[in-house]
Order: sequence, then C-alpha cells, then structure tokens
Amino acid sequence: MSPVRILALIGLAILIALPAITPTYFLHLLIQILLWSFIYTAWALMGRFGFVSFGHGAFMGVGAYVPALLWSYYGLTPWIGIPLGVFLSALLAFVIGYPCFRLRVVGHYFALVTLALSQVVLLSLTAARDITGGSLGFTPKAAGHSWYALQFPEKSYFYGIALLLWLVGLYVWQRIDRGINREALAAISED
Amino acid sequence: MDIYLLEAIINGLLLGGVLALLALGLNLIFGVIDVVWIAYADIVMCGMYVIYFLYAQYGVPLPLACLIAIAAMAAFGVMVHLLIIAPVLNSPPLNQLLATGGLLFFLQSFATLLFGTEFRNIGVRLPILEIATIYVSFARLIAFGLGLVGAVALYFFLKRTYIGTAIRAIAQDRDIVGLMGVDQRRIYLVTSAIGGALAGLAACLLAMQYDVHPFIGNTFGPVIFMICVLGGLGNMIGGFIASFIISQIIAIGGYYSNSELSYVLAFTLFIVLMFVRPRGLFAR
Repeated sequence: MSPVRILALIGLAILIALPAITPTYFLHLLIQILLWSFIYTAWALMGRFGFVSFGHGAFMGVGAYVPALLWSYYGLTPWIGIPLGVFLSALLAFVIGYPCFRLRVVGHYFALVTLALSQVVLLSLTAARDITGGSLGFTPKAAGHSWYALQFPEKSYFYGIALLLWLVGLYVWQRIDRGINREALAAISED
Repeated sequence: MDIYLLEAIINGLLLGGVLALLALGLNLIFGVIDVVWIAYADIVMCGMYVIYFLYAQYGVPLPLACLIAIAAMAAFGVMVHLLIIAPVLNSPPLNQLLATGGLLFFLQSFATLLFGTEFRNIGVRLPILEIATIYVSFARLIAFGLGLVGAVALYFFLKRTYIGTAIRAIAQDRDIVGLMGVDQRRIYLVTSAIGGALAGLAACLLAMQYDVHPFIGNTFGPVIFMICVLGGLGNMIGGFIASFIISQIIAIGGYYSNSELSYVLAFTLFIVLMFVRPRGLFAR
C-alpha cells in the first residue's frame, strides 16, 4: 500500500469515528463542511470545462425543495422524492446547458446565464411563498425518528449520510478526472 | 389606457434612469479594464451606508453627504483596483471573477458585522407629485434626472477630454495605446475612480428610495449585469437602452403579477435572449 493510501484510510477512520466524540454543534458544522465539499466537487467538475457556473445554487434549490415539498404536502417518501429532485435539477441543467453548448454561450456570458438562472429559481421560490414559505424558508413536516421520512433527531445519522455522499462525489470526480475523460475535458476547455 | 398601467410604465422609466447609471459604471470598467466587478452593487451598498451615517446619524446636510459619499466611493474604487484587480490583471478570467466575488462576500459580511442586518432608512420624506391623476414619486424623479445628468456628463467627459479619449482608446486596443505614450496604469486608476463615483452617485439616488441593509446589492446586482450583457458588454449606449427595456419589463410585469415574478420574467427573457443573440442585443 502506498503512503498516500494509508494516510487516506487513517483520515477516513478519523472521519467515521468523529461523531462519537464531538459535541452536537461541531457535528452540525462537520455536516455542513461535508455537504459544501460535495457541492464544491460538483462545481469543480464544471471548472474542468473552463466554465464558471453561478447556477449550482439553483440546482441545489430544486433538489432541496422537491423532496421537502412532496413529503410535506403529499407524504411522498424522500426515497422517491430525492431521485425525482435529482432528475428535475438534471433536467433543468440540461435545458440551460444544451443551448449554451449548441449556441456557444461561453466565458462571461455562460457565467451570467447561470447567474440569471439562479435568480429565476430563487425568486420563483420566494414568489410562491404560500407553498414554499418564501424567504422565511420551509421546514418539512416532522416525523421523529424515521428511515421512511429520512428524518432523525440525532445529528450523527445526517453526518453518516453526508460523509457517504461526499465519498461518492469524490469517487465520481476521480473516475472522471483520472480516467481518459480528463484529456477530453481539458481539450474542451481549450476550445 | 389603464391609468395604473401608465403609472407603472412611468415608474419603470424612472427606475431605468438609476439602473442606466449603474450599467454605465460597470460597462466602463469592463470595457476599459476587461474585468467584471461582480461586487459592483455592493460598492453601492457601502455608499448608501456612508450617506445613512453622515445624514441620519451625524446630521450632515444631504447634498454634502452625497458629495462625500461620491468622493469616498471614488477612492474606494481606486482601492479596489489597487488591492484586488491589479494583482490579478493578467490572470485567467475565472480568477478575476473569483477575486471580485470574494470582495462581494467580504463587503456583505463586513457590513453585517458592523451594522447588523436591520433595514435602515435615511428618513427623507419627499413629496409624491400628482400629475394629471398619475402619482409620481419625487425621489424617483430626482433620481431619474440626476441619473441622466450623470450619464450625459460621462459622455462628454469621454468625448471631449484627453483622459476620456485615452479611456476610449484603451477600450479599443490596449496594446497599441501603450505604444502611443498613454500610461495604462493611470487610465485604469481614473476609470476605477469614475466607476466608483458612479456607484456613489447611484447610492445617493437609491438611498432616497430604498432602505439600506447589507444585502441590498443582491436585489439589483444581477439586474445590472443582465443589462450590461443585453446591451453588449462594454457598449455604453447599448447598456443605456437595455436598462430601460429591463426596467419596463420589471415595472409592467410587476403591474400584472407581483414584483418577484416580474424579475423572474426579466431573467427568463434574458436567458432566452442570450441564446438568440449571444453577444447582446446591440452587439457590434
């Protein structure tokens, strides 16, 4: 085993053991760190294309509101809601990304199109304040400890989920970045 | 025609004056320095706080407070250029974008830390004019008028003075201008100062209409970028026309639905227009 791999495994072991010893608030911070790391990983993938995206907030918003609204209003389990949210935000990304790709909207212009997209999603959610709670935010209907509703009073469950998500994100990133695609991505960013 | 619709159109026109001023400042900086100041609207926010504290807290007369704010923001623009833009002038556009993006978060967080998140009003109560049963806010009328004066003054400055000519020349070809004996660094500083002063003037006009809070830049920042791009980045006259188109969409959209949805309409239209005319409506 290479030293790098051993260090990575030690780091992973520490990350897995952390919830047992940290106070709740620090656990909350750790969850935030992992989630932002995951989002950053997704964003960095765009950077490989030489694109600056301001639209990731929009995709995150869609992904967050779809399962939360479906659960609270229709009692639909997030196990279906989350894939649906992922599908819808991917669809949104396609609807915006494909014309940008076809019509060569790149550089500053791409950044500003995605900025406009994030504003559209943000303001639409704010305008629909009867349903979404507007700028005050939306709290999903409480369900206590439930795997069905993916709600847990203990933060450590969310920590586990966030850690797993981050690792999956890193794995996908590594597969794309280290694979043959890397040269292809770099080539795309060149022209 | 519906009298309220007419009122919305006139208010949109008046809003367009202030937006045009901001679009001019941003366009000038982009055209000359070739850097997008993402934090431009937050410099306006700083200017509004300067006016608020000078006028509402320390009792400085409003016109004097406005002049101080304009001067302060011009100095601030120079500082932004020296501290943030100059080091990344030859970096990739992504790094420049991130540097000014960092300034945006810095200014917003710093303002929150210093002043808290409460909405502050400078407490100027200007009368509402009634012209043939149409109500027009006097503050907006002043803002529109001063916005136009600022735009015309900038136009003559760029056309008639030596520095103005140098600024226009540098926007056309930055390499040749250096060979012609123009000091680029000095032009960049002057441009940043003018950009900052325009932000300061816009801050004076906006402080009379809106409450100041640390995140006010977020409410019109994206709109200004949209206007600049629609008009063609660096194209001042295009940006001037685009600001009235966008403000009309916002005003008329707000008349038929609510203000958030009118912005949604404007942004959606922007995205569609970007696909139809990727280099702006008035691309040369």
